[in-house]
Amino acid sequence: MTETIATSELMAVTLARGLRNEAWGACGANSQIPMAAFQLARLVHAPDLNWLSGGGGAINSAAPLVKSTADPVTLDSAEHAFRLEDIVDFELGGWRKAPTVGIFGGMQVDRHGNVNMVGIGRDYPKLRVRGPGTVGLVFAAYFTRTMIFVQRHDTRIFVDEVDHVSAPGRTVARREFCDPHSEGPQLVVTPLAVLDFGDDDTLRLKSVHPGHTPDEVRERTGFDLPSSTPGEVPLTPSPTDEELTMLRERVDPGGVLRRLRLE
Amino acid sequence: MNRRSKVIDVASAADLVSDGDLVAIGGIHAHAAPMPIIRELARNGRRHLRLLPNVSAGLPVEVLVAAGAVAEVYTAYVGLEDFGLAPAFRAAAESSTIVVHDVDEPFTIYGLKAAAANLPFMPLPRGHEATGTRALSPDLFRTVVDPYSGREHVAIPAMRPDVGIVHAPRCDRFGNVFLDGPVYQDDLILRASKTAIVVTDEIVPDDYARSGRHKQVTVPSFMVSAVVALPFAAHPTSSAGHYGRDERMLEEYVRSPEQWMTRYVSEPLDHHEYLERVGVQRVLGTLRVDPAALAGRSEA
Repeated sequence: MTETIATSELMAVTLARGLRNEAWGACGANSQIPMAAFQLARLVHAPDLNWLSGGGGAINSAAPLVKSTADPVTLDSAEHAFRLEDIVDFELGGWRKAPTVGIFGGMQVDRHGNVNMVGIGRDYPKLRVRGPGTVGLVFAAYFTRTMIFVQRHDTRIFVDEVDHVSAPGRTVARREFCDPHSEGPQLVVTPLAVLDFGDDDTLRLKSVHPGHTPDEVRERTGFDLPSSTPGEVPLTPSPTDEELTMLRERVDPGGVLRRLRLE
Repeated sequence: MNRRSKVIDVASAADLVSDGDLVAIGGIHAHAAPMPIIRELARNGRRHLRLLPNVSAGLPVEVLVAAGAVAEVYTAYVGLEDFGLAPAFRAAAESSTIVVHDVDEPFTIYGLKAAAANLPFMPLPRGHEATGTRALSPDLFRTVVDPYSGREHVAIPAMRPDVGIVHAPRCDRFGNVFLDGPVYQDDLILRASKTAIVVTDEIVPDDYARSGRHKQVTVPSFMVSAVVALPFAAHPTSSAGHYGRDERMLEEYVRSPEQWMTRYVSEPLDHHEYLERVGVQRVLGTLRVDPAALAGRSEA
Protein backbone atom coordinates (compact mmCIF):
# COMPACT_ATOMS: atom_id res chain seq x y z
CA MET A 1 0.00 0.00 0.00
CA THR A 2 2.95 2.30 0.80
CA GLU A 3 3.79 3.24 -2.78
CA THR A 4 0.34 4.73 -3.38
CA ILE A 5 0.44 7.20 -0.47
CA ALA A 6 0.41 10.82 -1.56
CA THR A 7 2.95 13.15 0.08
CA SER A 8 0.13 15.36 1.35
CA GLU A 9 -1.40 12.29 3.05
CA LEU A 10 1.93 11.43 4.67
CA MET A 11 2.21 15.06 5.87
CA ALA A 12 -1.29 14.93 7.39
CA VAL A 13 -0.52 11.65 9.17
CA THR A 14 2.80 13.04 10.48
CA LEU A 15 1.10 16.15 11.87
CA ALA A 16 -1.71 14.05 13.35
CA ARG A 17 0.83 11.98 15.28
CA GLY A 18 2.17 15.18 16.80
CA LEU A 19 -1.25 16.04 18.26
CA ARG A 20 -1.96 15.06 21.85
CA ASN A 21 -5.25 14.04 23.38
CA GLU A 22 -7.10 16.73 25.36
CA ALA A 23 -5.31 19.59 23.65
CA TRP A 24 -7.21 22.41 21.94
CA GLY A 25 -6.08 22.85 18.37
CA ALA A 26 -6.56 25.48 15.69
CA CYS A 27 -5.68 26.06 12.07
CA GLY A 28 -6.45 28.83 9.60
CA ALA A 29 -7.88 28.94 6.11
CA ASN A 30 -6.19 27.29 3.12
CA SER A 31 -5.18 24.53 5.54
CA GLN A 32 -6.30 21.25 4.02
CA ILE A 33 -3.38 19.27 5.49
CA PRO A 34 -3.81 20.55 9.09
CA MET A 35 -7.59 20.03 8.93
CA ALA A 36 -7.04 16.44 7.90
CA ALA A 37 -4.50 16.03 10.72
CA PHE A 38 -6.91 17.25 13.40
CA GLN A 39 -9.72 15.02 12.19
CA LEU A 40 -7.44 12.01 11.82
CA ALA A 41 -5.95 12.41 15.30
CA ARG A 42 -9.46 12.49 16.79
CA LEU A 43 -10.37 9.27 14.99
CA VAL A 44 -7.18 7.35 15.70
CA HIS A 45 -5.47 8.29 18.96
CA ALA A 46 -6.80 11.57 20.39
CA PRO A 47 -10.61 11.36 20.76
CA ASP A 48 -10.64 14.21 23.29
CA LEU A 49 -8.67 16.61 21.11
CA ASN A 50 -10.82 19.66 20.35
CA TRP A 51 -10.14 21.71 17.27
CA LEU A 52 -11.17 24.94 15.64
CA SER A 53 -11.26 25.51 11.92
CA GLY A 54 -10.27 29.16 11.91
CA GLY A 55 -11.67 30.00 8.49
CA GLY A 56 -15.35 29.36 9.23
CA GLY A 57 -15.16 28.98 13.03
CA ALA A 58 -16.31 25.34 13.13
CA ILE A 59 -15.57 23.51 16.38
CA ASN A 60 -14.88 19.76 16.10
CA SER A 61 -16.12 19.59 12.52
CA ALA A 62 -16.34 16.11 11.05
CA ALA A 63 -17.12 17.39 7.56
CA PRO A 64 -15.34 15.69 4.66
CA LEU A 65 -12.33 17.74 3.61
CA VAL A 66 -13.06 20.57 1.14
CA LYS A 67 -10.78 22.66 -1.04
CA SER A 68 -11.72 25.95 0.63
CA THR A 69 -11.26 25.25 4.32
CA ALA A 70 -13.18 28.47 5.11
CA ASP A 71 -16.28 27.07 3.37
CA PRO A 72 -19.50 27.26 5.45
CA VAL A 73 -20.07 23.54 4.81
CA THR A 74 -17.45 22.86 7.51
CA LEU A 75 -20.18 23.93 9.96
CA ASP A 76 -22.60 21.25 8.79
CA SER A 77 -21.14 18.62 11.08
CA ALA A 78 -19.60 20.86 13.73
CA GLU A 79 -20.53 20.92 17.41
CA HIS A 80 -20.41 24.69 17.66
CA ALA A 81 -19.54 27.80 15.63
CA PHE A 82 -17.14 30.45 16.90
CA ARG A 83 -17.46 34.04 15.73
CA LEU A 84 -14.13 35.71 14.98
CA GLU A 85 -14.38 37.53 18.28
CA ASP A 86 -14.56 34.12 20.03
CA ILE A 87 -11.67 32.88 17.90
CA VAL A 88 -9.35 35.74 18.83
CA ASP A 89 -10.29 35.46 22.52
CA PHE A 90 -9.58 31.72 22.36
CA GLU A 91 -6.32 31.97 20.47
CA LEU A 92 -4.94 34.61 22.84
CA GLY A 93 -6.23 33.15 26.09
CA GLY A 94 -7.49 29.58 25.61
CA TRP A 95 -4.20 28.17 26.95
CA ARG A 96 -5.26 29.23 30.45
CA LYS A 97 -7.87 26.44 30.34
CA ALA A 98 -6.07 23.72 28.33
CA PRO A 99 -2.88 23.30 26.32
CA THR A 100 -3.39 24.80 22.86
CA VAL A 101 -1.76 23.81 19.59
CA GLY A 102 -1.72 25.74 16.33
CA ILE A 103 -0.74 24.50 12.88
CA PHE A 104 0.16 27.08 10.22
CA GLY A 105 2.40 27.81 7.23
CA GLY A 106 4.03 30.83 5.62
CA MET A 107 6.13 32.33 2.81
CA GLN A 108 9.46 32.05 4.66
CA VAL A 109 10.60 29.84 7.55
CA ASP A 110 13.99 30.30 9.17
CA ARG A 111 16.30 28.15 11.31
CA HIS A 112 14.62 29.29 14.53
CA GLY A 113 11.14 28.56 13.20
CA ASN A 114 10.19 32.20 12.66
CA VAL A 115 7.55 32.49 9.92
CA ASN A 116 6.93 35.41 7.54
CA MET A 117 3.76 36.17 5.58
CA VAL A 118 4.24 39.93 5.06
CA GLY A 119 6.39 39.63 1.97
CA ILE A 120 9.87 39.15 0.55
CA GLY A 121 12.34 42.00 0.96
CA ARG A 122 13.60 43.89 4.01
CA ASP A 123 13.24 47.42 2.65
CA TYR A 124 9.72 47.78 4.04
CA PRO A 125 7.30 48.87 2.65
CA LYS A 126 9.11 48.44 -0.68
CA LEU A 127 8.78 44.66 -0.83
CA ARG A 128 9.95 42.63 -3.81
CA VAL A 129 6.97 40.31 -3.33
CA ARG A 130 4.06 41.68 -1.37
CA GLY A 131 2.65 38.79 0.68
CA PRO A 132 -0.92 38.40 1.91
CA GLY A 133 -0.24 39.59 5.47
CA THR A 134 0.30 38.24 8.97
CA VAL A 135 -3.32 37.05 9.44
CA GLY A 136 -3.32 34.73 12.50
CA LEU A 137 0.41 34.10 12.79
CA VAL A 138 0.61 36.37 15.85
CA PHE A 139 -1.17 33.61 17.78
CA ALA A 140 2.09 31.60 17.60
CA ALA A 141 3.14 33.87 20.50
CA TYR A 142 0.25 32.54 22.61
CA PHE A 143 -0.34 28.87 21.68
CA THR A 144 1.22 26.30 24.02
CA ARG A 145 2.82 24.53 21.06
CA THR A 146 2.81 24.99 17.31
CA MET A 147 3.61 22.92 14.25
CA ILE A 148 4.55 24.39 10.88
CA PHE A 149 3.64 22.93 7.50
CA VAL A 150 4.72 24.11 4.05
CA GLN A 151 3.59 22.93 0.63
CA ARG A 152 6.93 23.76 -1.00
CA HIS A 153 10.47 22.99 0.12
CA ASP A 154 13.23 25.14 -1.41
CA THR A 155 15.76 27.82 -0.51
CA ARG A 156 13.21 30.58 -1.14
CA ILE A 157 11.03 29.34 1.70
CA PHE A 158 13.71 27.96 4.06
CA VAL A 159 15.94 30.99 4.64
CA ASP A 160 18.62 31.69 7.23
CA GLU A 161 16.63 34.59 8.64
CA VAL A 162 13.07 35.63 7.70
CA ASP A 163 12.62 39.16 6.32
CA HIS A 164 9.76 39.86 8.77
CA VAL A 165 8.73 37.93 11.87
CA SER A 166 4.98 37.29 11.63
CA ALA A 167 5.07 34.22 13.91
CA PRO A 168 7.88 34.08 16.45
CA GLY A 169 9.88 30.88 16.51
CA ARG A 170 12.22 29.79 19.29
CA THR A 171 13.84 33.15 19.85
CA VAL A 172 15.21 35.51 22.48
CA ALA A 173 12.16 37.74 21.90
CA ARG A 174 9.86 34.80 22.69
CA ARG A 175 11.63 34.16 25.98
CA GLU A 176 11.47 37.85 26.82
CA PHE A 177 7.84 38.59 25.93
CA CYS A 178 5.76 35.40 25.77
CA ASP A 179 4.25 33.59 28.72
CA PRO A 180 6.54 30.70 29.72
CA HIS A 181 3.80 28.13 28.91
CA SER A 182 4.27 28.97 25.21
CA GLU A 183 6.97 26.62 23.94
CA GLY A 184 6.93 27.71 20.30
CA PRO A 185 7.29 25.47 17.25
CA GLN A 186 7.90 21.74 17.74
CA LEU A 187 7.92 20.34 14.23
CA VAL A 188 8.14 21.46 10.61
CA VAL A 189 6.56 19.14 8.06
CA THR A 190 7.42 19.70 4.38
CA PRO A 191 6.84 17.82 1.12
CA LEU A 192 10.36 16.35 1.51
CA ALA A 193 11.06 15.85 5.19
CA VAL A 194 10.26 16.32 8.86
CA LEU A 195 12.33 18.84 10.85
CA ASP A 196 12.52 19.28 14.61
CA PHE A 197 14.51 21.51 16.97
CA GLY A 198 17.77 20.87 18.80
CA ASP A 199 18.76 22.12 22.24
CA ASP A 200 20.08 25.31 20.62
CA ASP A 201 16.56 26.03 19.30
CA THR A 202 17.54 25.60 15.66
CA LEU A 203 16.07 23.21 13.09
CA ARG A 204 17.41 19.70 12.48
CA LEU A 205 16.57 16.99 9.99
CA LYS A 206 14.46 14.37 11.75
CA SER A 207 13.41 12.19 8.82
CA VAL A 208 13.09 12.24 5.05
CA HIS A 209 10.02 11.10 3.16
CA PRO A 210 10.31 7.98 0.99
CA GLY A 211 11.77 8.86 -2.41
CA HIS A 212 13.93 11.71 -1.08
CA THR A 213 17.46 11.89 0.33
CA PRO A 214 19.05 13.95 3.12
CA ASP A 215 21.38 15.54 0.53
CA GLU A 216 18.42 16.69 -1.53
CA VAL A 217 16.69 18.16 1.54
CA ARG A 218 19.86 19.99 2.61
CA GLU A 219 20.44 21.32 -0.88
CA ARG A 220 16.93 22.76 -0.92
CA THR A 221 17.27 24.37 2.54
CA GLY A 222 18.92 27.79 2.97
CA PHE A 223 20.73 26.95 6.22
CA ASP A 224 22.70 24.08 7.77
CA LEU A 225 20.51 21.19 8.77
CA PRO A 226 22.24 18.78 11.17
CA SER A 227 20.63 15.39 11.79
CA SER A 228 18.42 14.94 14.83
CA THR A 229 19.87 11.52 15.59
CA PRO A 230 23.32 9.99 15.04
CA GLY A 231 23.79 7.75 12.02
CA GLU A 232 21.60 7.53 8.96
CA VAL A 233 18.62 9.87 8.72
CA PRO A 234 15.53 7.66 9.06
CA LEU A 235 12.59 7.58 6.66
CA THR A 236 9.39 9.26 7.79
CA PRO A 237 7.23 6.43 9.16
CA SER A 238 4.45 5.40 6.77
CA PRO A 239 0.81 5.59 7.80
CA THR A 240 -0.57 2.51 9.51
CA ASP A 241 -3.43 0.68 7.82
CA GLU A 242 -5.81 2.22 10.36
CA GLU A 243 -4.53 5.74 9.72
CA LEU A 244 -4.78 5.36 5.96
CA THR A 245 -8.25 3.82 6.08
CA MET A 246 -9.56 6.54 8.39
CA LEU A 247 -7.91 9.25 6.30
CA ARG A 248 -9.36 8.05 3.01
CA GLU A 249 -12.76 6.80 4.14
CA ARG A 250 -13.70 9.27 6.86
CA VAL A 251 -11.56 12.40 6.62
CA ASP A 252 -10.96 12.88 2.92
CA PRO A 253 -13.27 10.67 0.87
CA GLY A 254 -13.20 13.24 -1.95
CA GLY A 255 -9.43 13.02 -2.39
CA VAL A 256 -8.73 16.73 -1.75
CA LEU A 257 -5.31 15.86 -0.30
CA ARG A 258 -4.34 13.65 -3.21
CA ARG A 259 -5.06 16.52 -5.63
CA LEU A 260 -3.19 19.15 -3.58
CA ARG A 261 -0.31 20.81 -5.41
CA LEU A 262 3.02 20.39 -3.60
CA GLU A 263 6.48 21.47 -4.78
CA MET B 1 -48.01 54.00 12.03
CA ASN B 2 -46.16 51.39 10.04
CA ARG B 3 -42.65 50.42 10.94
CA ARG B 4 -40.08 51.79 8.47
CA SER B 5 -38.58 49.40 5.93
CA LYS B 6 -34.84 49.82 5.45
CA VAL B 7 -34.78 48.17 2.04
CA ILE B 8 -33.12 50.35 -0.60
CA ASP B 9 -31.60 49.70 -4.02
CA VAL B 10 -27.93 49.02 -4.60
CA ALA B 11 -27.20 52.45 -6.11
CA SER B 12 -28.68 54.22 -3.07
CA ALA B 13 -26.64 51.96 -0.81
CA ALA B 14 -23.44 52.82 -2.68
CA ASP B 15 -24.34 56.51 -2.23
CA LEU B 16 -23.97 56.01 1.52
CA VAL B 17 -20.22 55.61 0.92
CA SER B 18 -18.23 58.83 0.38
CA ASP B 19 -14.75 59.32 -1.04
CA GLY B 20 -12.17 58.90 1.72
CA ASP B 21 -14.41 56.86 4.02
CA LEU B 22 -13.14 54.08 6.25
CA VAL B 23 -15.10 51.11 4.90
CA ALA B 24 -15.34 47.71 6.59
CA ILE B 25 -16.21 44.72 4.42
CA GLY B 26 -17.54 41.43 5.81
CA GLY B 27 -17.20 37.76 4.91
CA ILE B 28 -14.02 35.76 4.56
CA HIS B 29 -12.04 34.58 1.52
CA ALA B 30 -14.55 33.73 -1.24
CA HIS B 31 -17.45 33.49 1.19
CA ALA B 32 -20.17 36.02 2.06
CA ALA B 33 -18.74 39.08 0.31
CA PRO B 34 -21.26 41.91 -0.37
CA MET B 35 -20.28 41.97 -4.04
CA PRO B 36 -23.11 44.03 -5.64
CA ILE B 37 -22.19 47.11 -3.59
CA ILE B 38 -18.48 46.50 -4.13
CA ARG B 39 -19.02 46.42 -7.91
CA GLU B 40 -21.22 49.53 -7.74
CA LEU B 41 -18.53 51.46 -5.81
CA ALA B 42 -15.89 50.33 -8.29
CA ARG B 43 -18.03 51.30 -11.29
CA ASN B 44 -19.02 54.69 -9.88
CA GLY B 45 -15.46 55.86 -9.48
CA ARG B 46 -15.33 56.11 -5.70
CA ARG B 47 -11.86 57.32 -4.65
CA HIS B 48 -9.45 57.32 -1.70
CA LEU B 49 -11.34 54.68 0.26
CA ARG B 50 -9.62 53.36 3.35
CA LEU B 51 -10.50 49.68 3.65
CA LEU B 52 -10.78 47.71 6.86
CA PRO B 53 -11.59 44.41 5.17
CA ASN B 54 -12.37 41.12 6.87
CA VAL B 55 -9.32 39.35 8.29
CA SER B 56 -8.89 37.13 5.23
CA ALA B 57 -10.09 39.27 2.37
CA GLY B 58 -9.84 38.54 -1.32
CA LEU B 59 -12.13 39.47 -4.17
CA PRO B 60 -13.83 42.62 -2.75
CA VAL B 61 -10.45 44.22 -2.02
CA GLU B 62 -9.14 43.14 -5.42
CA VAL B 63 -12.09 44.69 -7.26
CA LEU B 64 -11.86 48.02 -5.41
CA VAL B 65 -8.06 48.22 -5.71
CA ALA B 66 -8.15 47.30 -9.40
CA ALA B 67 -10.75 50.05 -9.97
CA GLY B 68 -8.47 52.64 -8.38
CA ALA B 69 -10.94 53.28 -5.58
CA VAL B 70 -8.55 52.58 -2.69
CA ALA B 71 -5.97 54.69 -0.89
CA GLU B 72 -5.22 52.50 2.14
CA VAL B 73 -5.81 48.92 3.29
CA TYR B 74 -5.58 47.71 6.88
CA THR B 75 -4.26 44.30 5.95
CA ALA B 76 -4.49 41.22 8.10
CA TYR B 77 -4.57 39.11 4.92
CA VAL B 78 -5.41 39.94 1.33
CA GLY B 79 -5.15 36.97 -0.99
CA LEU B 80 -7.19 34.42 -2.88
CA GLU B 81 -6.84 31.45 -0.50
CA ASP B 82 -6.24 28.31 -2.61
CA PHE B 83 -6.04 30.49 -5.76
CA GLY B 84 -2.86 32.22 -4.57
CA LEU B 85 -1.80 35.83 -4.13
CA ALA B 86 -4.13 38.70 -5.05
CA PRO B 87 -2.68 40.24 -8.26
CA ALA B 88 -4.19 43.76 -8.14
CA PHE B 89 -3.47 44.21 -4.44
CA ARG B 90 0.04 42.90 -4.92
CA ALA B 91 0.79 45.20 -7.86
CA ALA B 92 -0.66 48.27 -6.13
CA ALA B 93 1.27 47.53 -2.93
CA GLU B 94 4.56 46.82 -4.70
CA SER B 95 4.28 50.04 -6.73
CA SER B 96 3.17 52.03 -3.65
CA THR B 97 -0.08 53.04 -5.39
CA ILE B 98 -1.85 52.13 -2.16
CA VAL B 99 -0.71 52.37 1.45
CA VAL B 100 -0.73 48.99 3.19
CA HIS B 101 -1.00 49.00 6.95
CA ASP B 102 0.25 45.62 8.09
CA VAL B 103 -1.94 44.56 10.99
CA ASP B 104 -3.26 41.20 12.16
CA GLU B 105 -6.39 39.36 13.26
CA PRO B 106 -6.43 40.81 16.81
CA PHE B 107 -6.08 44.32 15.37
CA THR B 108 -9.12 44.10 13.12
CA ILE B 109 -11.28 42.16 15.56
CA TYR B 110 -10.39 43.99 18.77
CA GLY B 111 -10.34 47.33 16.91
CA LEU B 112 -13.97 46.72 15.91
CA LYS B 113 -14.82 45.31 19.34
CA ALA B 114 -13.43 48.44 21.02
CA ALA B 115 -15.43 50.65 18.67
CA ALA B 116 -18.62 48.68 19.31
CA ALA B 117 -18.13 49.07 23.08
CA ASN B 118 -17.05 52.73 22.77
CA LEU B 119 -13.67 51.89 24.29
CA PRO B 120 -10.71 54.05 23.21
CA PHE B 121 -8.43 51.03 22.69
CA MET B 122 -7.91 47.38 23.64
CA PRO B 123 -4.73 46.12 25.28
CA LEU B 124 -3.34 42.73 24.25
CA PRO B 125 -1.86 40.07 26.50
CA ARG B 126 1.94 40.14 26.37
CA GLY B 127 3.44 38.13 23.51
CA HIS B 128 2.65 40.35 20.52
CA GLU B 129 6.01 42.06 21.18
CA ALA B 130 7.77 38.87 20.04
CA THR B 131 6.53 39.45 16.48
CA GLY B 132 7.87 42.04 14.06
CA THR B 133 4.44 43.38 13.14
CA ARG B 134 4.46 46.32 15.53
CA ALA B 135 7.66 47.61 13.91
CA LEU B 136 5.85 47.67 10.53
CA SER B 137 2.90 49.75 11.84
CA PRO B 138 4.20 51.61 14.91
CA ASP B 139 1.48 54.27 14.80
CA LEU B 140 -1.22 51.61 15.03
CA PHE B 141 0.31 49.28 17.61
CA ARG B 142 1.23 51.59 20.47
CA THR B 143 1.89 50.60 24.07
CA VAL B 144 0.03 51.25 27.29
CA VAL B 145 0.95 50.60 30.91
CA ASP B 146 -1.41 48.35 32.87
CA PRO B 147 -2.42 50.54 35.84
CA TYR B 148 -2.74 47.44 38.03
CA SER B 149 0.48 45.54 37.31
CA GLY B 150 2.61 48.39 35.96
CA ARG B 151 3.55 46.22 32.96
CA GLU B 152 3.59 47.48 29.41
CA HIS B 153 1.17 46.05 26.82
CA VAL B 154 0.67 46.48 23.08
CA ALA B 155 -2.61 48.31 22.40
CA ILE B 156 -5.00 48.43 19.46
CA PRO B 157 -6.99 51.59 18.69
CA ALA B 158 -10.77 51.50 18.31
CA MET B 159 -11.50 51.18 14.58
CA ARG B 160 -14.83 52.85 13.86
CA PRO B 161 -15.75 52.44 10.18
CA ASP B 162 -17.75 55.19 8.49
CA VAL B 163 -19.55 52.46 6.62
CA GLY B 164 -19.69 48.70 7.21
CA ILE B 165 -20.99 46.40 4.47
CA VAL B 166 -21.78 42.72 5.05
CA HIS B 167 -23.63 39.94 3.27
CA ALA B 168 -26.33 37.92 5.03
CA PRO B 169 -28.16 34.89 3.62
CA ARG B 170 -31.40 36.23 5.14
CA CYS B 171 -32.63 39.47 6.67
CA ASP B 172 -36.00 41.10 7.28
CA ARG B 173 -37.10 44.51 5.98
CA PHE B 174 -36.27 46.16 9.29
CA GLY B 175 -32.70 44.87 9.38
CA ASN B 176 -32.85 41.85 11.67
CA VAL B 177 -29.91 39.87 10.32
CA PHE B 178 -29.79 36.07 10.02
CA LEU B 179 -26.18 34.99 9.54
CA ASP B 180 -27.11 31.35 9.00
CA GLY B 181 -23.57 30.18 8.37
CA PRO B 182 -20.36 31.43 9.96
CA VAL B 183 -20.67 34.85 11.61
CA TYR B 184 -17.02 35.78 10.95
CA GLN B 185 -16.50 39.41 12.13
CA ASP B 186 -19.74 40.56 10.53
CA ASP B 187 -21.59 41.08 13.82
CA LEU B 188 -18.79 43.37 14.98
CA ILE B 189 -18.76 45.28 11.69
CA LEU B 190 -22.49 46.02 11.96
CA ARG B 191 -22.18 47.02 15.62
CA ALA B 192 -19.08 49.19 15.15
CA SER B 193 -19.87 51.04 11.90
CA LYS B 194 -21.58 54.43 11.86
CA THR B 195 -23.56 53.35 8.79
CA ALA B 196 -24.21 49.60 8.54
CA ILE B 197 -25.40 48.02 5.28
CA VAL B 198 -26.60 44.45 4.77
CA VAL B 199 -26.80 42.83 1.34
CA THR B 200 -29.06 39.80 1.46
CA ASP B 201 -30.26 36.96 -0.75
CA GLU B 202 -33.64 36.67 0.89
CA ILE B 203 -36.04 38.96 2.76
CA VAL B 204 -37.95 36.95 5.35
CA PRO B 205 -41.52 37.90 6.42
CA ASP B 206 -42.00 40.72 8.91
CA ASP B 207 -43.07 38.45 11.78
CA TYR B 208 -40.44 35.78 11.04
CA ALA B 209 -37.97 36.72 13.81
CA ARG B 210 -40.60 37.02 16.51
CA SER B 211 -42.15 33.65 15.62
CA GLY B 212 -39.84 31.83 18.02
CA ARG B 213 -36.70 32.54 16.00
CA HIS B 214 -35.07 35.28 18.02
CA LYS B 215 -32.03 33.08 18.63
CA GLN B 216 -31.44 32.91 14.87
CA VAL B 217 -31.13 36.69 14.66
CA THR B 218 -27.40 37.37 14.80
CA VAL B 219 -27.64 41.17 14.88
CA PRO B 220 -30.81 43.10 15.78
CA SER B 221 -32.43 45.56 13.41
CA PHE B 222 -31.43 48.75 15.21
CA MET B 223 -27.74 48.07 14.42
CA VAL B 224 -28.52 48.14 10.69
CA SER B 225 -28.99 51.28 8.57
CA ALA B 226 -29.96 49.81 5.20
CA VAL B 227 -30.82 46.51 3.53
CA VAL B 228 -30.25 45.63 -0.12
CA ALA B 229 -32.01 42.50 -1.38
CA LEU B 230 -30.79 40.80 -4.55
CA PRO B 231 -30.74 37.22 -5.83
CA PHE B 232 -27.30 35.59 -5.58
CA ALA B 233 -26.17 38.66 -3.67
CA ALA B 234 -22.78 37.21 -2.77
CA HIS B 235 -21.92 35.70 -6.15
CA PRO B 236 -19.20 34.68 -7.04
CA THR B 237 -18.57 34.15 -3.31
CA SER B 238 -20.72 31.75 -1.30
CA SER B 239 -23.87 32.21 0.77
CA ALA B 240 -24.30 29.70 3.59
CA GLY B 241 -27.30 27.44 3.04
CA HIS B 242 -27.90 28.86 -0.44
CA TYR B 243 -24.99 28.45 -2.84
CA GLY B 244 -21.26 27.74 -2.93
CA ARG B 245 -18.46 29.84 -4.36
CA ASP B 246 -18.16 29.97 -8.15
CA GLU B 247 -14.69 28.51 -8.60
CA ARG B 248 -14.69 29.06 -12.35
CA MET B 249 -15.19 32.80 -11.81
CA LEU B 250 -12.19 32.84 -9.49
CA GLU B 251 -10.08 30.88 -11.96
CA GLU B 252 -11.13 33.28 -14.69
CA TYR B 253 -10.16 36.24 -12.52
CA VAL B 254 -6.69 34.85 -11.76
CA ARG B 255 -6.12 34.07 -15.45
CA SER B 256 -6.99 37.54 -16.75
CA PRO B 257 -7.89 40.08 -14.05
CA GLU B 258 -8.24 43.05 -16.41
CA GLN B 259 -10.64 41.37 -18.80
CA TRP B 260 -12.60 40.06 -15.83
CA MET B 261 -12.89 43.56 -14.39
CA THR B 262 -14.19 44.92 -17.69
CA ARG B 263 -16.61 42.09 -18.33
CA TYR B 264 -18.03 41.70 -14.84
CA VAL B 265 -17.48 45.07 -13.11
CA SER B 266 -17.19 48.03 -15.50
CA GLU B 267 -19.63 47.02 -18.21
CA PRO B 268 -22.70 45.52 -16.51
CA LEU B 269 -25.13 48.29 -15.58
CA ASP B 270 -26.62 46.46 -12.64
CA HIS B 271 -26.61 43.19 -10.71
CA HIS B 272 -29.03 41.49 -13.08
CA GLU B 273 -26.94 42.30 -16.11
CA TYR B 274 -23.95 40.97 -14.19
CA LEU B 275 -25.77 37.69 -13.52
CA GLU B 276 -26.80 37.49 -17.17
CA ARG B 277 -23.17 37.79 -18.22
CA VAL B 278 -22.19 34.98 -15.87
CA GLY B 279 -25.02 32.90 -17.33
CA VAL B 280 -27.97 31.00 -15.93
CA GLN B 281 -26.25 27.62 -15.94
CA ARG B 282 -23.17 28.89 -14.13
CA VAL B 283 -25.15 30.84 -11.54
CA LEU B 284 -27.61 28.04 -10.83
CA GLY B 285 -24.74 25.58 -10.81
CA THR B 286 -23.51 27.09 -7.56
CA LEU B 287 -26.76 26.22 -5.73
CA ARG B 288 -26.38 23.82 -2.86
CA VAL B 289 -29.78 22.23 -2.98
CA ASP B 290 -30.49 18.95 -1.32
CA PRO B 291 -33.42 17.49 -3.33
CA ALA B 292 -34.68 15.62 -0.26
CA ALA B 293 -34.76 18.83 1.75
CA LEU B 294 -36.63 20.58 -1.07
CA ALA B 295 -39.21 17.81 -1.13
CA GLY B 296 -39.59 18.17 2.63
CA ARG B 297 -40.08 21.90 2.30
CA SER B 298 -42.87 21.59 -0.24
CA GLU B 299 -44.75 19.20 2.03
CA ALA B 300 -44.45 21.48 5.04
